[in-house]
Amino acid sequence: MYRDGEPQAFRQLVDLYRERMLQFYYRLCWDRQRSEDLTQDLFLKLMLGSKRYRPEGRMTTFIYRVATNLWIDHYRQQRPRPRFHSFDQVVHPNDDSAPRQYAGDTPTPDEQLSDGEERTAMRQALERLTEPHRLVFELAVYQERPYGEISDLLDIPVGTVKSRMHNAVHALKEMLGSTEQEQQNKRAGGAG
Amino acid sequence: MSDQPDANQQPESNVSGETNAVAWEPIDLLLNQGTPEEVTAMRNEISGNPSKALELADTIALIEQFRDLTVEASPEFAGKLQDVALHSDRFYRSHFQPQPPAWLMPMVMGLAAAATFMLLWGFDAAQMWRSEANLTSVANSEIRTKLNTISIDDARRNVVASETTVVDEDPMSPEQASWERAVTEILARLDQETTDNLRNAFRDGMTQKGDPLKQWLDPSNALVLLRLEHELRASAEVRIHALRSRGALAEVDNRVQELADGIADEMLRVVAGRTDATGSSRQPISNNDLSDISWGVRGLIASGSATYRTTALRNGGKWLANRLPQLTGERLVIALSGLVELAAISGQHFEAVAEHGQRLVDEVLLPSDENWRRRLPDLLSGYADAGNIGEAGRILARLPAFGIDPHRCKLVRQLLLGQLRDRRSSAQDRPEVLAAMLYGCGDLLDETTGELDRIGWQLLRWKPTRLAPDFATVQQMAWSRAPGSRGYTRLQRELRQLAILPMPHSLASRSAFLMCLATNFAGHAGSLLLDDE
Repeated sequence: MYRDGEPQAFRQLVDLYRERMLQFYYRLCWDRQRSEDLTQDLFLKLMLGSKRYRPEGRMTTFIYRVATNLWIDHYRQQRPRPRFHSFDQVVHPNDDSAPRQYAGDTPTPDEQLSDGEERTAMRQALERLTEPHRLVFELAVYQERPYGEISDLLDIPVGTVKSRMHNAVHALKEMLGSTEQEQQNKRAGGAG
Repeated sequence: MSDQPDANQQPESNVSGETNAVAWEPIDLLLNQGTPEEVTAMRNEISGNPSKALELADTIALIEQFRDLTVEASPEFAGKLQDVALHSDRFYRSHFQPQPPAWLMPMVMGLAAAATFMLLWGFDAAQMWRSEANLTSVANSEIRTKLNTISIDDARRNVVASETTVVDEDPMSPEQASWERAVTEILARLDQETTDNLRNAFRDGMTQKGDPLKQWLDPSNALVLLRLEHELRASAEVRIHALRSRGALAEVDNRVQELADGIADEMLRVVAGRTDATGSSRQPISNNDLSDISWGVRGLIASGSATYRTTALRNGGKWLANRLPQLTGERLVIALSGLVELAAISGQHFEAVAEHGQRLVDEVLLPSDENWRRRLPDLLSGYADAGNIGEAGRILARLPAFGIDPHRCKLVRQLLLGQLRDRRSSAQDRPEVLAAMLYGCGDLLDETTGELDRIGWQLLRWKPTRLAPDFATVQQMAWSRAPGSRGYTRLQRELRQLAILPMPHSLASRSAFLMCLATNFAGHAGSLLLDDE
């Protein structure tokens, strides 16, 4: 519609996707500032890419493809150092447990206060997932994309999407279970 | 090791077409992944397998927890997206906007060249100095300069002189001559008034001196501010930030948007019901319809632009513009109040506002068989609604940006202020009069004698909640007191209580109520941009 003479159509698209995309990037990088910048970049890319967009494809898929590619590019630039990891690996190993540190990544005292222990644990658990697993989890759970579409977006077989999703869920359960166990132990120790 | 969960995971499958090779898990059912048959099969299996059912419940709890991990956008986010939107408009113009055919430009250039050649062919340069139009414009500018400097008695003497010593060295245009006659008639009529307020106002207006550039530039800048802030207001983050920064609840914005949606719907219905097939109407225009649509337009603008309300705004503006020729006096003011704002934010009906704005000025300043000879002009009569007079003052302050003579606009505003002062001096210092003075003519009030402060404090004796349901007065009261002025904080505290009042019935009242609630992000030009800085 934007291409066909409706300049307002792009503004409508921004209104429709701004919140979703902000959350998408936030849960991938945990930095509000950076996620807002990425969302802005995304819309600029979509605008520039509108000339190439083929109407036969689904608009949503096109947007998520651009969003995912943007994140992957960004992630590649941000990775602190080259490292080998297996696609079978679901979480970062302990010796590399701090996945990435951004300038604005440290939670402010306000954030720490508002984030309960539970939220912190969840955030840490998500952060510990490796990038491929986290991306699949984000797209499936938060963005509610079907496995088939995720497979198209990431250019991997549907079976791989499924197994990454299952592994991510198992890992999260396990990590949160162990965190709860630690907290219970702490409380028991404190009481004793 | 317990925190090495990857060690226990199934290896990743990488073979395409193996969708069914990976066994399903509760998360798949929860996310409704798979074909309907697969989902049904999963459900059947769950119902027969308690351990799977427990696992599903566990997964649901886990996912629900994770869905809470969200972030609230910062106030700067809206600005970033606004940049994108502006960028997209430019991009659209340069890439997608239909371009004129390649042959059009050379053809236009050729025609222009031919026309210029033809004009030059018959052009007599010396005639330029003799042309009546030129004489008129020279006389106009001379006289305008003089009017700015002469006192009222000088004005009278000049008029007498102009009548007796017919055009010697300073020829006068017909327009100027009629203006001189108008001044004489107005002065004669004002001499009969029982109070001096209107006479003094006219005298002040005639003797005022001001920077001519500023007189035009200030209203133009005000229009630009209106447009910029309207664009900023489109963002919920900006609106919420403005509310919070002034101590109001962010939830007020929800109410504003809810009201705006209702107003847009009703406006569409009203406009559709009162418009014939040609888009205009020869039927008498009821005051209620006029107020409803004009206030509705202003309410929608105050609420912040939203694409889905654009149609209501456009139709409302068109409806008002079509009816302008039939309106005079207060009714013209009501219609223009909506259209001036619409023209400022979108450029729609700019010419109509200019044309009928000029008519509004002329209605007050040019004597007719009725005006000034038998009675005062409608807007200066004691029957005119104070709120409309205040609104007229606000409109006239912006009209110079539409190409109307700033000197005359200010003269009319002085007269309107004189009328309101007249009401005060006859002990009618009701809140609507005070609010109208501050809202429409606040910049003309005398600061040196403390008039501005006195009226401001006097107005604060009335609580906004007590003035309800007269939200038109509350709106003028709220919008006239800018951040940083004395009593602003106190007024804000009282305005917050409006948020819990029930929704008024009529469209006009609802729009006025909306504008009261939207004061923090729509009421004070320039405040949003300051916030942004």
